[in-house]
Amino acid sequence: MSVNRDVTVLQEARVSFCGNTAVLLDAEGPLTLATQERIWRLSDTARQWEGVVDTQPGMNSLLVVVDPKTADLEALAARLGETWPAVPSGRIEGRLLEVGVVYGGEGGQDLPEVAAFHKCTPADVAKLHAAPEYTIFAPGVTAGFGYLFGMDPRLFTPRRQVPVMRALGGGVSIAGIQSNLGKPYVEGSAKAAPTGWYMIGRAPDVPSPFDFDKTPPNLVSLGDRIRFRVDRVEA
Amino acid sequence: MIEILETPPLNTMQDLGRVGYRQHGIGRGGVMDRLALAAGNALLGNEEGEAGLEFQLFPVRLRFTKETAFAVTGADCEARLSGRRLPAWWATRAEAGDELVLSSPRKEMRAYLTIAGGFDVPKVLGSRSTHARDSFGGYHGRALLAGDVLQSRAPEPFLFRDGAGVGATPAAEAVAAATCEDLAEGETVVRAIPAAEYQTFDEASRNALCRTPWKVTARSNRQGYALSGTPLRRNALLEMRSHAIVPGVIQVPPSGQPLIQLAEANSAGGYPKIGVVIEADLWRIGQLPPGGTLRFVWCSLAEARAAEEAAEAYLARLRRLAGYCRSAIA
Amino acid sequence: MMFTSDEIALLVASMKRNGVAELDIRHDAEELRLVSAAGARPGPSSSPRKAARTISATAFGVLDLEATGPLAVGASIAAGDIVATVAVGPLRRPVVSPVAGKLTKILGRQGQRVEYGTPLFEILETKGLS
Repeated sequence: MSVNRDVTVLQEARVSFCGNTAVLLDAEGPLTLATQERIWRLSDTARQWEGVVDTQPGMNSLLVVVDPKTADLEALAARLGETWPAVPSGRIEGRLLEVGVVYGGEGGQDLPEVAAFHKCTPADVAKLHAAPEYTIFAPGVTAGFGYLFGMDPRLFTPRRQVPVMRALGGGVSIAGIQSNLGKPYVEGSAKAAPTGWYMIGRAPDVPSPFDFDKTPPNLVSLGDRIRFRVDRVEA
Repeated sequence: MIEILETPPLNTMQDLGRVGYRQHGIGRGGVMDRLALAAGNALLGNEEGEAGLEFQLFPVRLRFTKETAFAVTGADCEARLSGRRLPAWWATRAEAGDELVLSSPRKEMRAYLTIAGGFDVPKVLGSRSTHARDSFGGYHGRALLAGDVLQSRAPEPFLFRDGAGVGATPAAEAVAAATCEDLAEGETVVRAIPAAEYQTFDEASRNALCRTPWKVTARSNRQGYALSGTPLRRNALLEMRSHAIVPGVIQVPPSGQPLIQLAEANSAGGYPKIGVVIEADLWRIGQLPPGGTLRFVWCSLAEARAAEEAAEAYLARLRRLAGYCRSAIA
Repeated sequence: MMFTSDEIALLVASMKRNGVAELDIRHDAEELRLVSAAGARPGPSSSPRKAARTISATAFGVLDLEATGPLAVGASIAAGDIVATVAVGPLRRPVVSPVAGKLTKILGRQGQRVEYGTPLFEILETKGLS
């Protein structure tokens, strides 16, 4: 597996335009919980600014979206850049959600490959994976449990160069330094999708992270934590 | 009421999209051609962002089961109402029992059906757009199927002053596109603003984006278009962290062949971005079919604002003039 | 915002067509009052017995002869068909054949600026089909 593990680390925060509808703040320094907590705070603050229609944290970054018909993007970019250094730090303790996981077996079929890569047993991988608490750092590509931060760096597993088809619905997967929890399968949607991630387990009773029959519809918010419980390790 | 008699897959109800739900990872979605949707609504006296049906595959056949004022805008799909040919970008009245047939457009890609009063489906998270990936919004959260019956919300009753209806000059004729050097016939030019990783591309690549044509490949849909042309290279291959992205972003994966994320883009991504197409030109991409050729030109924020104003002026004038061509029924 | 000359022409044509003598418009903050000698309707409806009929413009603007596809002499037209459109700014209005028949002459030119009453087509009425 060939992979470049270097990630751009900025010395200073940078504000750039995303076309004429948004401004992106890339924070300085490495990915840390302390910085990410400030990103969440800035997200909540900026959403209240006049002319701002939406905000979305990324990993160490924040997108601020405007209406292009009325926006003054230069002023917004300046305001974002000036506000960022003054955003206070401090813990944001979210709720804790425990999720039972069956490691390996059907839906976790990549566990042996991951174990072989790390020269340990599948049970060792499960134990390492379930040890820490994971924090929901940023929204994912669509409504779900988001990007999780907190995986033990010893489980760093380079993403597959060639994607493979894997089942959707409650899957627990890892790639790079990240771990992901899939939402339950939605009737009528695609049953599988191509992915470069390794499926190491499944969470049979995972709750829906987004339910339109509930108010609010989102089960989890940024800053909430997820703990994986080893229910079983299958060969 | 409208009954769908025949439709290929992937035709959905869309409006201008959902705004304000990005903290849940829900991106904007909505129509691929916002000017065509807004023009149809202008002809009918609807709100600009009233939902319509977006047709991207043809033929489509549907039946009006009651008298309905409607408009067909966007790609010219040679609409026929009970056999009678309608001009492109046209609004008229169907009688109960009339059948509307839309055929594959010769050029362009997507046509929109709007109806007076709008479609009677609930807003989900502030929008009637179909979110196909997560199966919510629009018509039962899914693409249209033969046999579907769509209800309209009661419009303010009106008559077209000309019984045959009223139309709009297509946006492609009415709103000037940007131009570029050595532009060839049939190429679509869109304006873009350099994005965060622009400087990390080598000089040849920075120049190539705007100097060379880009072919729209078959791997192109509502989520995004995959382009093919001279590969773009970066000075250093650094991994990117996942970050929120907007429709119009031109991402460059390791292959060097750019992707433009469009209406149904994921809300976040991880590829470096060389630029972002301005909002006012996104509809031009939405009307470009696979096999078409795209050209980029860099523009300033001021030019982007002027482009936005030109589109808005077209719609405002259309709304006003179309208003004179309808008369309210007391 | 003031009304443009195109828009006023559009309104006057619409008044003539609908036999309206006076028009008072309040639109947002604008107000416009037009008084017209309501004229007779042009061409077709004034000579119902003749077999060859002229279809004239019922609006002021730029003529599009290809709005419903290219038309050629000899083409069969149904009563009520839109045979052309006339554009005022971004707005297009229909030119409709009042009768069924065969197109015998195309009098208008593509892109021509036409007035209310400008003859555009000659059509030979097909008896018994209109």
